Amino acid sequence: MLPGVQEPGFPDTLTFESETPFDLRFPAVELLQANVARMLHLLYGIGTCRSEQLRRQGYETLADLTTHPQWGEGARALLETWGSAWDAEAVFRTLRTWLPASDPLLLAALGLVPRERILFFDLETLGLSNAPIFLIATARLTDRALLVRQDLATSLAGERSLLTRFGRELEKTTALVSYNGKAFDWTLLRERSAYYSQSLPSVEIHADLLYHVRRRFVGLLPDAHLGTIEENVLGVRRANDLPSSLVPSFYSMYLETGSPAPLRPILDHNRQDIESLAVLLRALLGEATDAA
Amino acid sequence: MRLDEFLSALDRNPDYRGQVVYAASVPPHVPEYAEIALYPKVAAALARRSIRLYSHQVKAIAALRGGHDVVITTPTASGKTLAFHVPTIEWLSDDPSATALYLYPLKALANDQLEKLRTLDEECGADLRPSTYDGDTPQQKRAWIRRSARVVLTNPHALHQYLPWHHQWARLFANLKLVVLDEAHHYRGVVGGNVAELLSRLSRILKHYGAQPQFVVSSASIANPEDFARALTGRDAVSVDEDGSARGPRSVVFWDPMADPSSSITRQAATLLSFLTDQGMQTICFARSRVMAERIASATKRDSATDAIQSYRAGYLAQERRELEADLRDGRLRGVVSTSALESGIDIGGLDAAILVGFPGSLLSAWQQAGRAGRGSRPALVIYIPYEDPLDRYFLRDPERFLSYAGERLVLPRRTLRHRAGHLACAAAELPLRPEEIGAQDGEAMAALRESGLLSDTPSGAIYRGLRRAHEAFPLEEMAGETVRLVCGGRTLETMDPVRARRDAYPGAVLLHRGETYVVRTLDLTEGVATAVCEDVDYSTQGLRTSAVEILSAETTTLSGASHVARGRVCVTESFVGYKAIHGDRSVSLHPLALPPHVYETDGVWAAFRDLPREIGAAELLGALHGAEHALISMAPLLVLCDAADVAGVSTPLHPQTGAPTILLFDGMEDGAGLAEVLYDEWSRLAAAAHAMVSRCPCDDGCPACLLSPRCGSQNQPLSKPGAIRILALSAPASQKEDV
Repeated sequence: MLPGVQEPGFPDTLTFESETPFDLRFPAVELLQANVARMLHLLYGIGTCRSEQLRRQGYETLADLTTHPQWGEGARALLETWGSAWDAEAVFRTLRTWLPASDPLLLAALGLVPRERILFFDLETLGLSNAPIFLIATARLTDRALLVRQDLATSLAGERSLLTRFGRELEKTTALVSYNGKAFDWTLLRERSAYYSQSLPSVEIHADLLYHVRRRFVGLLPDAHLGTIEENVLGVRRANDLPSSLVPSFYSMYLETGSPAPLRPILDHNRQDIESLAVLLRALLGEATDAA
Repeated sequence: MRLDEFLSALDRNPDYRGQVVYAASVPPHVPEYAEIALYPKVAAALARRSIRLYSHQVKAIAALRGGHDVVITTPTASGKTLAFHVPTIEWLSDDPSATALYLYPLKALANDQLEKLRTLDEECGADLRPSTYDGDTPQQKRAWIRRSARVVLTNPHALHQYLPWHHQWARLFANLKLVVLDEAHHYRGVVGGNVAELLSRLSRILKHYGAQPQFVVSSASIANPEDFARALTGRDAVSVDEDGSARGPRSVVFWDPMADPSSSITRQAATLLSFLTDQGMQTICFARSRVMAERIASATKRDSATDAIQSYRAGYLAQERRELEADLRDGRLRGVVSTSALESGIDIGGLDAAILVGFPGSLLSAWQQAGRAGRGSRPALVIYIPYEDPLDRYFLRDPERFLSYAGERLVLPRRTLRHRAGHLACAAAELPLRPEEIGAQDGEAMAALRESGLLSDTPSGAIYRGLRRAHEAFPLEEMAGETVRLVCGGRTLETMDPVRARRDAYPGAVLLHRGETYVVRTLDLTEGVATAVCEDVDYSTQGLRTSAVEILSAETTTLSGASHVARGRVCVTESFVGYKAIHGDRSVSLHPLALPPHVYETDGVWAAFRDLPREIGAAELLGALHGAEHALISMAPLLVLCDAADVAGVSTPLHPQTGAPTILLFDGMEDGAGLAEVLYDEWSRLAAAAHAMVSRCPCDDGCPACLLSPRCGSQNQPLSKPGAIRILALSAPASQKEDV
């Protein structure tokens, strides 16, 4: 049998937890703030030319700009939405308006989010759309480790529990990290929540690493599959890995036969996926700080 | 042009051979107006267009205001659409979040209505934001439409695909006040059955979002509007069927092409069309098939020097169709030859004359086609030219049957296991299927779905767990989805549905497109592609099919005359054995085909003759049964809304299961279309009509006007006319024989 725990209140599921030492440093908050503060073009109406102009006039930061006759009001309003403590969500909202989703700053800016409020996630489902979710993996960072949790539905009746549990996690989350999550995982979560008439808390910040990988490695790699990235960038080699295309049929087999044998490879594959997600973020951050 | 003017002009024409055998004038219809209080902007918009509301429009609007559902079946051009546009505008003006959904059988019809609705919306300031949403909608517009459009126009095929994403449509669904099913007469047979299921799934989802919209079913005139509406929507509706609109005098002329045997029907139709356009009458000529439409159009080139006559088909690309339609409306195009594609729905304005070449398969269609002639109060002309076909020529002998049409019955088939299972699977993929939503009669379908691993039971209900998306595994493909592309040199010429492809686009088939002749080289039904080459040939082709039928179960039997009639399920193996090449009107050569046989289950009705009188000898028995079978099939469209090609038959002197000489008719499509059931119910009338038709035919041994079928896979051999008359007499009870 599998070494999972049946959590009370979440019928038809099994939970698997693990903790691995993991070191991930974000750029220092002060450094981030200093960089963002210099981005005068975050103000509507100021582009590259104008910000050059303003810089020559001595306006280096947004704080400086608050004294400007024309732009002062805008700068003050913007800094107010960010708050004196630089609320991560407000800052991201501004950054997202002007930066492409693949901009490295959007990854570095995760450093503004309290560490424990970042959630990595990955799903396993029976299909690409309108299909039940049977496994949700989530991971959080502690100071020195990565805490991985996998919630597995032991029958399809468990999908509801998975969604409820995930919803609880979302309430404690400010930023999500995923791979192709914006197009796939999050859409499917919304769909399945609607299917069970359950609400799904929204999360303001979602860093989809696929965008960053594409920007960073386009032309250098044959494709952007996580496996390709693992091999070529992260130096991760999986042994006897179950190909993701077989995951749905393995789970179907489990449903039909009741034998848990097909589940082990699914869990291993899925855990590797989420661990690689964290490793990938670290690698991209390394690139980002280099670039900055 | 008035009837007398037309007839004298004909008399003066040297090509005229006295083909007119009957003519009748339908008197003009005086308009019946009615009053109803309208919103000022709506009243102003109508006044600007000089529109006064007719009695039927007011009745429909009042019924909708009263909270009822409505089924409106007044004729074409009676202003049916206004009857539902007005409440839409009013309700959506009152409530800024209210929405409406309009369903059309085809995208082209939806697009046609969109412009009209937009214009009306602008004038009334209702902020409807009407939008079509289907496969053609550009990706970047979709999110906006889902978020903000208040009237969405789409088709059942598309709606079926969107239902599993209902949460993206939550705003539209939760605020839905009205669902309109326009051109609903398309939803008959299998297609109708699927749409009815789709609508019940839609209703289920609407209930989930707390919406309770009213339904409007708008259709051509039929004999059973309330039943039809109930079968389609599951709800009761108020029937609005009395036409209050204005109609100018209309003359119907019955033309017998046999009066001039030296001239083909194509030729005569083309000559007549040119004649009418030369007289200054904007004329539409309806042909039964794409091939015929092209032929007639080409033939007019001989008489008319101009480009004034064009052909029109649904298979043309959208841009070409728009241009033709606009040219008709503006009067630039004086004559058009079309298939039933222009029967109804698309606005081409009223024309001066309509020629019907061949009976379009139902009186409903015939009158829709005839309805295209009529411009205000000016006299309109309708000319009916029958083919050499029993049903076509029947109306020459009995024109009153045509003129006094009161509507045919539209049927939706009984739900079969396969379709029910498909819809249950889709429903489960949309929302968990709760036990109270599953009827007792669905037990078998549910068991089958569970066993094949498509459904899992959970405390929330049955959920779909197939590896393939339910809505793809069970598509609404029987919908007017044209899915086989005819390709030549990499270019798509046109599109058609798979059944037609088997019948008209088999390897070796000759097709006309835009005046050019093409010969089909390959047909790949799985890929949905037929390839053809452009080749000038001087023959045409006709496909032939034979069927082998096994009776699976008899559900009920009765006695009709001296025959035992039963209906039940049958298993059919249909083979397209070959085709014949035809020069002019004569068959020249026969070519075998190697298409895979089509095996399917369907509904059938059969008559067994246990005690045959001695006059019918063994030698002529098969010919007698075979002839009777042809006659029965050709009369079927009189009783139920179908095409004679929808019903197929086999006859045998000794059927292994009945143990007697038997004639067997069946619905020529998978799972049945509800036709056999009606034919069973009306068997006596059917047999009597067939008997009357054959016995009154003046020919000696059977002719295309009574016994010969163009579709017969055994080359109309053997056939015995006297034998057929005797068999039919046996099957029709004495009381029915004279009065049909």
